[in-house]
Amino acid sequence: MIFDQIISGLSIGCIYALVGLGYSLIFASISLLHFAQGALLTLSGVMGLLLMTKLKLPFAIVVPLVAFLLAAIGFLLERFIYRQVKGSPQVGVISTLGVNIIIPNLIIIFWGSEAYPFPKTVLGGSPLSLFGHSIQPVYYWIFIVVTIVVILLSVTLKYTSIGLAIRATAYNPKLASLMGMNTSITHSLSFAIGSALAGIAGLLAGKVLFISYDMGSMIGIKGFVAAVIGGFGNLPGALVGGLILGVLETIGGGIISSTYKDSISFVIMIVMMVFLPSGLLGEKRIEKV
Amino acid sequence: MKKMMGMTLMFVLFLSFSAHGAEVFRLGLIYDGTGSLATHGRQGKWACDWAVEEINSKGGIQGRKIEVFAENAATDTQKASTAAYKVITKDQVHFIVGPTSSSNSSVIQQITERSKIPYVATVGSADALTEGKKEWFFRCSLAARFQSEDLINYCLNVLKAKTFALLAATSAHGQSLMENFTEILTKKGLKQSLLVVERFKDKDMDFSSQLLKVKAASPDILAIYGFSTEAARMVTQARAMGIKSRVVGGTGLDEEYGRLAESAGVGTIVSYGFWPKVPIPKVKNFIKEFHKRTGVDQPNFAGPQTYDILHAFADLMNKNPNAPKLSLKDDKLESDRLAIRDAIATIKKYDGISGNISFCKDPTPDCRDGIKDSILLQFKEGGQLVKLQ
Repeated sequence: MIFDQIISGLSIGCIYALVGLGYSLIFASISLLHFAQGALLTLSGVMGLLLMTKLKLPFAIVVPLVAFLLAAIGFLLERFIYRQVKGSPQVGVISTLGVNIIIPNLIIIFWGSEAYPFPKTVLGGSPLSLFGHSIQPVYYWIFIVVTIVVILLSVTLKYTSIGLAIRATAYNPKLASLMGMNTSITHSLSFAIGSALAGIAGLLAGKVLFISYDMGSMIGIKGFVAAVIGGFGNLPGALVGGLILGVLETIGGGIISSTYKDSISFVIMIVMMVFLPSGLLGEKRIEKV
Repeated sequence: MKKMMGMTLMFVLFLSFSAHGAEVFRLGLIYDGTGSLATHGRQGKWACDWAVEEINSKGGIQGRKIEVFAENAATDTQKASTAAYKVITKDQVHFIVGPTSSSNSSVIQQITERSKIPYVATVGSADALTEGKKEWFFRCSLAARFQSEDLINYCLNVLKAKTFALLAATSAHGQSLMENFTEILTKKGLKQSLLVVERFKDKDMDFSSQLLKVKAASPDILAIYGFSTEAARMVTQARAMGIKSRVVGGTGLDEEYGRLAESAGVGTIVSYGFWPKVPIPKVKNFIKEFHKRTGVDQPNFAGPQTYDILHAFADLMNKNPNAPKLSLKDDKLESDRLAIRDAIATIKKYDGISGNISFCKDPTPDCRDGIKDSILLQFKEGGQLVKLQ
């Protein structure tokens, strides 16, 4: 049973990790806690469902398409909303909470409040046998998709000029600007990538959950917890944090009680914030005042 | 000039918050328009609007029109509380009807008991709602204690089940059904046949912790007591994990469960108070008209139960010569509410769409649970419900 719980936990953890990566990337770039990641995840689920059911597009096409659409939405959100309140971190956070409320309510108005499943063929197939245990198709597909996304993200950040600009801006925006980098564009691009990550997470979560206006609310919070565990602003940390959170939550729910799964997540977050505030892989930063 | 405009505005605002229009029967409707119980809540609201339209077309309540003050509780107890305070204190309704969850009904009930206003729940099933001498509360829905007995007997006698597993939501609905289920098995001397008892929360994403235990126990029957969306998610995951137990459930599973669970939900047996395919002309006409108004083919019990209680009340007030005469003046609000409560308690054997409804005066479960007959139904392909013989 423990093996099954670990597999299940890692799968859910992958979804948390993608959302956490978005949080960390955006925070690293512009020091903003983007609490609307859950709402973007929900939006991507709805978009994905509409593209597959109305336009009959295959899932393999829908993933990059929705990621692109969410990237565009993230870009526009940063440009027209968050940039306007850039000078005040508190107002910035409140504006992200506002977006987090507005998007699901717009979904209710324009799409409805009923839940819908993804088509059966999405992330389908035969169970995989490993060490005598059966792994459901949705689980191994989530591992595959997230692995590809993480590899693409790493390659982009490490080997492309865009990635270099994002990393440089995240490290020291003033210095990056002095070196001739357009930090304004890199901020928007960080948002775009962070939103695209939430978009992909939404498509994966849509297979596990049903698509509804509130599907992203708890996942958005768990993604935040994943980012805290790993070290806010640290990308590998968000990945590790998500996986650890998923596994601990599933195993803890099995040992203690499934009623306390959410509580387990938040207790872990509080413990991390008290005893290791920089997270598992985060670095302590000394700021001169 | 500015001062004059300001004073005029203040006066207009004051008027809007003070005395209401002349003698209108104000009905509060608190329903779950969104959230886990949205299909029940919305159907309850549509049925309420339809019933009110019909009653008003015949003159309303004792010659006065009904005005509905509807609030969406969104299957959220905080919103239910806000909604209750609003309809009671601001709208000053005479009577509240609620197609809303048991948890919400419990919260609203605490407020209506304190405020002394009659409240009829048309969806909530938790037994606790009618326990503890609730003077102002009535239930026009099938209570949990009527849901499990027939279901368990069917499992034991017809399905020859020997072992059970129970997964119950942490909501008041799930809690009540879980307690009932366990109590009935214990009374039959079969407590040891309940191999797994686990809880889940409404917004849970993954049920592998609970389902792995069920899989290991391999019970004949898996009882899922929760609402449609979570139950559908759970049964889909259960089937994907290879769990082959027969699934049973309660009134929380409606046509949305059948639609979402698809083939995984086929064969699920539920205990209901209403079956939309009852071959009685007035039920058939109701279903046909409901479909015409809402597009819903197979309404759940929320619509008929809400429709029935409003018509039962209107019939009583308009046709019974012994019915109290309502003043509906603002200064008589308290006495009107008391008269309405006492009138509802006299509803006896009202033959409605959802079945026989009877109340009585004592604040006991027996008196305040208006519907007592359950019916066993099974989900077939396409989410259709058929009656079990």
